[in-house]
Amino acid sequence: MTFYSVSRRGMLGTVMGAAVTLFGLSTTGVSADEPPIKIGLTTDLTGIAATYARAQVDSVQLAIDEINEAGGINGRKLELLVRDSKLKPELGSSLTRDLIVREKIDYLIGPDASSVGVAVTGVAKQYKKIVVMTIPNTPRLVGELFHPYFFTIVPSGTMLARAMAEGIGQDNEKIAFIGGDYEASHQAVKYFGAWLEKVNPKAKIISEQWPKLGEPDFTPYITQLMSAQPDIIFSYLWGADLIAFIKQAKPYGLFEKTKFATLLFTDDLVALGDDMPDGVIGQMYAPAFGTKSEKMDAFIKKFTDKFGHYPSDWAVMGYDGMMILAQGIKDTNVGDSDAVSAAIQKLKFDGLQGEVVFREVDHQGNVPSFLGTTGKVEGLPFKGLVDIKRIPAETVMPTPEEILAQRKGG
Amino acid sequence: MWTDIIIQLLSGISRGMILFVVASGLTLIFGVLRIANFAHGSFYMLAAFLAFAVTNYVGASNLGFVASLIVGPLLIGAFGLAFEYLLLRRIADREHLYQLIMTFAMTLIIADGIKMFWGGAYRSIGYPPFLSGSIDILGRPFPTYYLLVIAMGVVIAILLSLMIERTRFGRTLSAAVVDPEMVGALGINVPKLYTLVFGLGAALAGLGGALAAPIGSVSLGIGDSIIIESFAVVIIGGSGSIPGAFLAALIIGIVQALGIMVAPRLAIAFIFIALCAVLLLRPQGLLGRRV
Repeated sequence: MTFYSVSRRGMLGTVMGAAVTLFGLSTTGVSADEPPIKIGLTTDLTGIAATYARAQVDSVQLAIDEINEAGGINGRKLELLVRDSKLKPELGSSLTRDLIVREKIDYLIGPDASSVGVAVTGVAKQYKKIVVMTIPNTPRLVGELFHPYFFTIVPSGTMLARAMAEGIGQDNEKIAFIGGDYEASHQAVKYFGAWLEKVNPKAKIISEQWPKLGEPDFTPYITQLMSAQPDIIFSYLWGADLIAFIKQAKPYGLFEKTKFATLLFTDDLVALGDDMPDGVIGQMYAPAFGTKSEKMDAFIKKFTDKFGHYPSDWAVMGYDGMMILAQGIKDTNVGDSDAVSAAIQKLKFDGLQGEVVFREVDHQGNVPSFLGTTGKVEGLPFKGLVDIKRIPAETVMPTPEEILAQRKGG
Repeated sequence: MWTDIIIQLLSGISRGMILFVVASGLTLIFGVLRIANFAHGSFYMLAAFLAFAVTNYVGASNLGFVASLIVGPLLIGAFGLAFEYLLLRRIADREHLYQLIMTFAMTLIIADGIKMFWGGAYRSIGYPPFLSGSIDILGRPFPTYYLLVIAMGVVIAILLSLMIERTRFGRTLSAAVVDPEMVGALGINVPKLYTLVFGLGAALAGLGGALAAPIGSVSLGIGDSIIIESFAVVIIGGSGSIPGAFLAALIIGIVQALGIMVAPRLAIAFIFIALCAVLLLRPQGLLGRRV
């Protein structure tokens, strides 16, 4: 009896295996003459940053679909393989390794959380695979973790913090800070403070508040911030935390009494809708409404038609990141990592936000960031930014000397 | 200075009241059924998402808000009844570990269910229009909505205490905690009693979630911190004790709020310091019975 069932299961396995093999052969035989170029994407589809990852996957896929519809790269189609790293760096490492070793992917594109970004760039270095980062922005990526196969089109934490200091440092002397108690936010206040000394030596950070990530109740922090009576509050809260903070601070009259400047994502603007107070100074990575061009308009339309909602900052960077990678592949006639790296290095890429080039020292794309004040924007279904100032990368990028010093452990 | 303290105190109390509403359900379930219901925070989160759905459907109006306060607790209560009747009851006579695993499994199911239904994006619903402003307390603005929350907490505390001390249902409940066999022998359907208590507890988590939704964000993580704080309330207050839960929730809310004024960097630790102190000095909780 036992013997019988085992042998039957064995036979079933053989049949299934044969079927899978046949099916596999027939599908690749039909779709293209050449095998596809495989792109690996390890990202956090589970966890607090899952929305960002979703936009990333959608926009990368959108770019790939467009390339494939236009005939692919040298007759070869692109194929995207996505893995869920669940906000866990170890999982990010092992999934990326699996994509390279078992799935034989050719190139990698950016993960989601910075912690996973650090893990993925390590694997990419080990296996000499190109990786283009489209969300993570810890300065360590271009610093001590840098390798020749890494490229980023995300303004780094250093660049954002300095841009914020440029934006609010001149007109304000007493600055209060609030940010989630974790690495990125501690780094932000460090770089912000250092740049502030250059911009306005009289300016000081007079109060620092460090609620935990995911804090449900900001009211004690709100009263503390207000009793410090700052000229402006610099916030490094984002996502669900920023939303809770804004909703709780509003009835306390915080936005009438004090200026408020914060890191801001399109997702936050969408979620808050009309509850977003006017006049908040928002710093954004890559808002689709921040750049007026035919290219951007076409992208917004394509994305909205396909996914039923407005593209976020992550979608803009995901789309551009994939297009940059594709251009590098095309320029080398599907070359190896060294060739593609050299090709991307030579690119003058005409992207959604304008021209992007990569510096040799750290492969940081010269991408801008944006500062503006919240308000109603014509044609936008939620509040956006008005009086948008585009802050060019060149004014806030660390110098090559700074980067080299950081790499030496400075 | 004093104004600061009073405003801070009031906001601590309002936070404590939401915590009480949620934790009172947990303490009922734990006290009567002896189940550490890990899914309680998920019930809270699910109610917040339901509140989001109802507000979207009815409109961001006063009516929408009232509807969300009714629909959320009712649906979550019904969900709790079904969960206990269909699943938890099947393993009632096994080791407690199994119940723990099952309630934990429910947290995963609810989280994935929310993701399937609403997606992973964080959402927000506004304060109801008639409570969206603030009132003047000692020359400072204080959110009107928080006053409603405080009032709701007090009302729920009174109703629950009355139910347990003055009604036949409540007295049966207290008896069932001490000696379920004897209560069963007296002709009372104990399993049915348990199901009702679980449903009531779940509905309270639902009410807490619907009440908290306009204050914070509606997102996948919001169940996590409330479940930890709720267990802290059950331990500090004493399991099964409604007045204990009320006192503990107030203490946690106030300690958090005032503690931040004194030592902001220690804010994360306050609950755990309070918890340790109670466990060392009075392990049965402030108003719990000595076991």
